[in-house]
Amino acid sequence: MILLCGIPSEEPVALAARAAQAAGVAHVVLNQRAVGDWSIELEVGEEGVSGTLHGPYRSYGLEAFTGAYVRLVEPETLPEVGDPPRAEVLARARAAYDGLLAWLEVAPTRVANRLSASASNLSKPYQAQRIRRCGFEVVPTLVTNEPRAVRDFARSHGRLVYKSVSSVRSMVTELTSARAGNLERVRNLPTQFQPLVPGFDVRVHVVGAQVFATEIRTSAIDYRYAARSAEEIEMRAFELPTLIRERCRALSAALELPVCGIDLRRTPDGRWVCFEVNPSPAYSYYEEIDGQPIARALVAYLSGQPSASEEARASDDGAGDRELDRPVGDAPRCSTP
Amino acid sequence: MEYAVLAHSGDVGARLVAAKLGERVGTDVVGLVLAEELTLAPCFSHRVGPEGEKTELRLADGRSLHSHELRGVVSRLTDAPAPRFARNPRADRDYAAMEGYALLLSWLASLPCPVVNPASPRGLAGPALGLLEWLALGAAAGLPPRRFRLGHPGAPAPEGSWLGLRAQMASSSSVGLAPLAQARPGEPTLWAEPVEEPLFEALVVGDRVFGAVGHAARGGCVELARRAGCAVLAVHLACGRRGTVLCGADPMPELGPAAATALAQLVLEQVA
Repeated sequence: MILLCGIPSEEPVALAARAAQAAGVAHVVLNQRAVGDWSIELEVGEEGVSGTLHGPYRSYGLEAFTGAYVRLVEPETLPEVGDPPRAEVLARARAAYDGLLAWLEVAPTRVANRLSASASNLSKPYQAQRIRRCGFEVVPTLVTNEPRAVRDFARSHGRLVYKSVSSVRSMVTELTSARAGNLERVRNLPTQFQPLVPGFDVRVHVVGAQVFATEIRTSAIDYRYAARSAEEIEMRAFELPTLIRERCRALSAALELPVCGIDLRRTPDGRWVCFEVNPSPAYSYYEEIDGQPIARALVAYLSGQPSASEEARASDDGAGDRELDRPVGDAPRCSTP
Repeated sequence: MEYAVLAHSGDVGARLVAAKLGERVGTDVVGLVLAEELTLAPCFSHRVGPEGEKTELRLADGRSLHSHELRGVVSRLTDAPAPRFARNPRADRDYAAMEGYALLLSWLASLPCPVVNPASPRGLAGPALGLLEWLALGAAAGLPPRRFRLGHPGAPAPEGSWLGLRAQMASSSSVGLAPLAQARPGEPTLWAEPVEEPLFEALVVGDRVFGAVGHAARGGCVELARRAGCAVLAVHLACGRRGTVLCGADPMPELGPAAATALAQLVLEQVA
């Protein structure tokens, strides 16, 4: 049995539930918005951690779950908690949230993903260091509060973009000459700058041992916001070179993120640059466009299929380094990333 | 600056460590640097890229912490204060704090010199694990955990002898958890195995253990610190019916003179 935790109407959770249904995999959807319907009991001793998940209709021994997919939100953001929050409702929501996450950290089961592993995304330059150690080329990055350092960096690298340093979502924006006039503002808070890397984006979803790549073509600087600037975007399934696919799996394993979204860019001169790894990817957006069975792979992984690290250990097949940039299928057009 | 002790204001232990380091290697190459001094530094340029990492950091008082000059760092940082945004709306303050934390994490993780405790996404001065994680890690290290039961809100007390506490699962230790009487409506109850009060602490600094702890538990404490990736760790223990049990841990404990001396010594050993 697998556990899907989150808001059932949210697409990644809904798609996983549908995939489980289609595959005949027993699953429980923990609806986080049903505050008060769910609670968890835990017992800690020398034998380890055991417990029971109580739902609105029945209870489940935690040992029954072979895997858990986690798309929980902070309890304070749930509409049911109220604004301002109602203390008792919030306490119940937080109790279920904290108890569940605490169990998932130590549970001898597959978790996509543990909060502790997701934390590498708290700092982009920190994560870039981890990415580089896995063999990927990373983008030269400057985090600074010195306008002069930014100007020097631009002289060395040409066109620059800037973005948040932390996991707070920000739109990647080009440092145009007009914006460069406001560079003094970085004195208030160090900001992250990178060269604008030419090429097209490839979003890779690693799910256990499976790898799904989506090619993204757009003239927008940040494809996630292409619609906002009325720019066209094309997305289609993409076959990665074997070496890059293996590197993605190695990165997923190194970061202990069995399910992740890896942002790559293929440069015109044939290099693969890795920007970051999203520990909670909205994979459904890509699946709905290019039709790759990511949800099915997620359900299979949570049900017990080998993970990337397990498969890598099992088959050290000396994966070749053939470069095969072969798109798969037609390119559907879309307007809303 | 060759040796930096990074701390929040009021951290007496950090001041002691800086003083002990200064006694050993000279006060001119040792600096106590407060968190606000880092986040208000007029020059903070951190580079990450294909060639590796490099950071130039100059404080308002003129001291510098360049990554290639530092030989050892003691981190006692928990967060990145953002005093420049103190009067901004909360969303801006939170954003500035997260950005500052992200930068400090990347900087500390990139330093080529020893950093005690090493920074990770879970803490700038060692991992801030939850109670269950410490207990699970402790059990693997040979420290039997204090028994706990987390009951759902409103559930009656389990059978047997249990002590009711306010359940705060994010807490790293049962030490300091408020009694059940202070629980708020809707909160679950953490039922704890009764133990002798007061609980006691074993302070691990490298391979040394401070505190009145038996030989067997000492080895477990050192192993727990090793598994957590901490050179410095306070291990919270208690005497129960089954002997010494683990109640939690804290990677950023108070440091007295003896522990500060040992930590200074440890840093120098790691540098050597």
